[in-house]
Amino acid sequence: MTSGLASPRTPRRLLAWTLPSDVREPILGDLEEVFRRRRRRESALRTHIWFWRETAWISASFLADGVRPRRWRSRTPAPAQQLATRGGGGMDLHVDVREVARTFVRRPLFTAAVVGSLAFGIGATTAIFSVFNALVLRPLPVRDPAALFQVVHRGDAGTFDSSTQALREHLTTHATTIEGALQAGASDVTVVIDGAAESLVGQSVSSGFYDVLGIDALIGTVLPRLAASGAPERTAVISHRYWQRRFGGNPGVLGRTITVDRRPYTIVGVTRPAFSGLEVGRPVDVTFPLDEPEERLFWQSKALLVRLRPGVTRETARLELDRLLQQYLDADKRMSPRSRTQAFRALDLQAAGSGIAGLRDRYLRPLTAVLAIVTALLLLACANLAGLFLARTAARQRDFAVCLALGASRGRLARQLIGESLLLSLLGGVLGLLVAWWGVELLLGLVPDLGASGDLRAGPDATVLFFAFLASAITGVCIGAAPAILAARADLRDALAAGSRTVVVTGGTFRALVGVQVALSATLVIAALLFTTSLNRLLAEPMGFVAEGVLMLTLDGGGAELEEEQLAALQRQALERLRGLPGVRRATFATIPPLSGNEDGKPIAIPGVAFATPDDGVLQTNTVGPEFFETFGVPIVRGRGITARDDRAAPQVAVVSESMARAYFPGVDPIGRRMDVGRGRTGGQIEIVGIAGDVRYRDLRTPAPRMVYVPASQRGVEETVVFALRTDGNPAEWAAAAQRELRALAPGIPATDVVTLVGERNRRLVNERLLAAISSGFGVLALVLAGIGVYGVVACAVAGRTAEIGLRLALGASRGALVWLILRGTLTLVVLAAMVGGGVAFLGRSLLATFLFGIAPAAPWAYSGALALLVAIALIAAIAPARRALRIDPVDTLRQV
Amino acid sequence: VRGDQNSVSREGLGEFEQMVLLAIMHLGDEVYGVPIVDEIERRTGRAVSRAAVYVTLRRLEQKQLIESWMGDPTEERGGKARRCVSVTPTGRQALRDARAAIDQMWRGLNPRLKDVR
Repeated sequence: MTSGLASPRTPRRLLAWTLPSDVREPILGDLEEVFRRRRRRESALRTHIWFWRETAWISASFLADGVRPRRWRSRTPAPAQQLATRGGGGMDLHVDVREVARTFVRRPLFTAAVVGSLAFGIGATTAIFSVFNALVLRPLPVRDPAALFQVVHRGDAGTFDSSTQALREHLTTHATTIEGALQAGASDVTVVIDGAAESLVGQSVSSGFYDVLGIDALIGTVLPRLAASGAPERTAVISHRYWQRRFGGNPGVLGRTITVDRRPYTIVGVTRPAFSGLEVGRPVDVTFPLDEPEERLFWQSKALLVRLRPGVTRETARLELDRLLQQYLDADKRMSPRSRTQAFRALDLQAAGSGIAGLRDRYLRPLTAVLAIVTALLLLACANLAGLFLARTAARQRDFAVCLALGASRGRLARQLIGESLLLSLLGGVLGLLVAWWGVELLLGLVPDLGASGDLRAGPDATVLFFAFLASAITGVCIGAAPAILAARADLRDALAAGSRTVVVTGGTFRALVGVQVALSATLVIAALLFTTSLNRLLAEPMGFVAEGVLMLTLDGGGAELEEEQLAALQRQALERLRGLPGVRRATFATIPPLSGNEDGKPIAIPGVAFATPDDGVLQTNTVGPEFFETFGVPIVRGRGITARDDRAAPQVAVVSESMARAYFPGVDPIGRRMDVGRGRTGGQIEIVGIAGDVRYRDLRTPAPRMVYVPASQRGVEETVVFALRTDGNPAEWAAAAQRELRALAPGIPATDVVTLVGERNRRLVNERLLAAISSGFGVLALVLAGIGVYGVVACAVAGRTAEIGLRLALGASRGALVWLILRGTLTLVVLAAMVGGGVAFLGRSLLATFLFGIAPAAPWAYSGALALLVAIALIAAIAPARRALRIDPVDTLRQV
Repeated sequence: VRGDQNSVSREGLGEFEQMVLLAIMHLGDEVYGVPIVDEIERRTGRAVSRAAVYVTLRRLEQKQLIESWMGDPTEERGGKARRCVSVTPTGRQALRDARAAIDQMWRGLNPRLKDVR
């Protein structure tokens, strides 16, 4: 948008385009004058909104005024420039637009149908693109984002983005190709203010973080630079979002002390609203210095970003930084040669101008797939509407012929037709922006990870608006092209010849358009069948627990300075309180709840058993409270579960999972056998008392791990445990009450991550759900559109062959033969087109395979299923026109021939 | 094409047309879109649709009730000329007719409307 005082260019152009030439200049001048006047007392945003609104009203008024025919006679001398344009005689565009608007006002239903479907198509595409844009394309609000790159390491074991503080200093000191380097890592932190704890996203950053990015504070200051040797100050910068939410935007926040993970920090500044950290979709609340001098040499999972000097190419910088890295590694005595080849064969620079990986990596591919699906649908809608326009043009062929005969140029006619479709598609595009806004909400609702952070919802920026405009314009041209060519080619004599009212001319093009629709819908339907089957297979996978009715919340005692005994007592009391809630049937806690993705491998020993490999000596363990199996609905196959009686005084016990029992006690009953869990423990102190069913801990695709369950009261206390409640009805309804109980018990300890187990399961299926929902929804829509297209083809065929059919009927042709005559061509078209669509799906099978579970991307039944569906739809679409053909009266037709 | 020319005088003036014409009369010299909108808003105390004013001005000129000429372009208007208007004698006559017609309709009603207030 234009800064300064001049009015925005886009609406000005729109006005210049819609206004009649005689009032164009004065109205534009008036608006400019008022714009500048208002701009002096109002904000830029308000003035721009005003300008756009005036533009819309004035354009609409003149277009509507043009629709009412009024003769324009003026005795005032026309201005010179107006004469010039008239003399030029070429593009008086507003005349065309008025002409076009007039034809649409006369046919409101047709117009509404076209604009509606375009709005939907363009809106859906724009919605996906806008999230895609926010996630992938939108640059960070920093100085010259294109010069920012992330340092990543490539080795035999893959790609790594870890770094050390010493490496950053080494690069900053010695590299000549970079202006500076920064290191930053985001993590969940516990922040305590006035005794109330909260879990936030924190970010520890190296010195120079804000300098290298080139951003400043909204109020206060950004982190002061560290002295080269001196101890860092404990200062923190908070985000605008957090400042507004927690402190109500009070500037008095500067100088306040907050506790971040048990350390006090003084707030010295608030960042600008636009900047929310380096990772898109994970806004940072609190930023504090990376200040562990003793960890200078440790490789940590913190991003290392460099800013290239102006004029330096990525490759030049990469070569230098790689050389410096190898130098650094040579000097690093702690690194074994093996880990060096595993991770550090080469250094790579990845563009970081639009943020660093995170959500983007996880959702880029599904979003790309969804974008492909909606684009296919938009194309399909285009083909459909092109057919509609073509049919309409054919019906108006006589009108066009008359116009041509009266001296209108063919170019003018073609322009009029393209203008018609463009006007409709642009109108559809404007409405599409509304659909897109709604679509973004819907999409973010389907993908809670994306929806949770506010920054993907930010309104459409210039890129998105341009995308929507481009999509509308291309759509408009696509739709209008075929009719325009047809009109320009129209043969005068043919069209004007008496009795010639056929639409045969359009046959070939029309059939081709329907073919495109059928092919696209075949591809969409195959994808939909594959995605939904895959989702159902995943849902049918045995998880090993009953997800419905379970609420979970995490109590993180790490932030409070409690003795082990106090912490254990606190966890016991919390369990008591949660059990006491009405509607809670059972409650337990565990270090690792199902599907959490967490792991806790511990060395084990079984007296009398020697492990074949060292890996066998490590098992996943879960430290659980009483009634763990009952609460999560995990079946006890043999023996018993863990109860409240298994306390410190009782003999030590463990429950093992079925797969563990199979692997370690093949052919033997493990119950009553003894084992040890934990480093250096021997002697068989623990007795195995039960076998539990296998539970999936990582995700739905990964098989259940071999697991040992030990009672929490017989082990050391864990700082962080997850409480689980089995409730009556919807577990989410108990979330607030459960949190209240825990807060009342321990106000300084945050109860975070309140989730339902069903929600967790769905979160792990979010890509699959998204693709299944969108592809099947759009697949159905595609089938409907294709059906309408096929109906059009059959109806045309019947209309064009009325005489022939009548003649055949008169000559005694059977009804079956007639129906076959009508259907033959159409069915051939549908089958051929569906095969083309199937071919497209087959070509994309490697892309499809990455989203599928338990089904091959080339599963023959999906292809044959799609073909069968399309043939069925085609037959249904053909019923009405076929019946019409059979009702043709041979006598009537013979009379006409 | 319908014969618009004759119907103009018979149609009479719409309320908004009268407002625009009266605003032009009030303003005197150098009358164009911006001051017309300002004048109507100032006198009536209501927000006026700029689009309606432009469409009305064009219609009034079609009916030959006003005439217009292009002024000089100024920097303040982004180098665009203004279109100045003035009321033609036909326009003044139309205003007088409209006023007379309304006055006729009002005659004798004042006492009754007073009660209503």
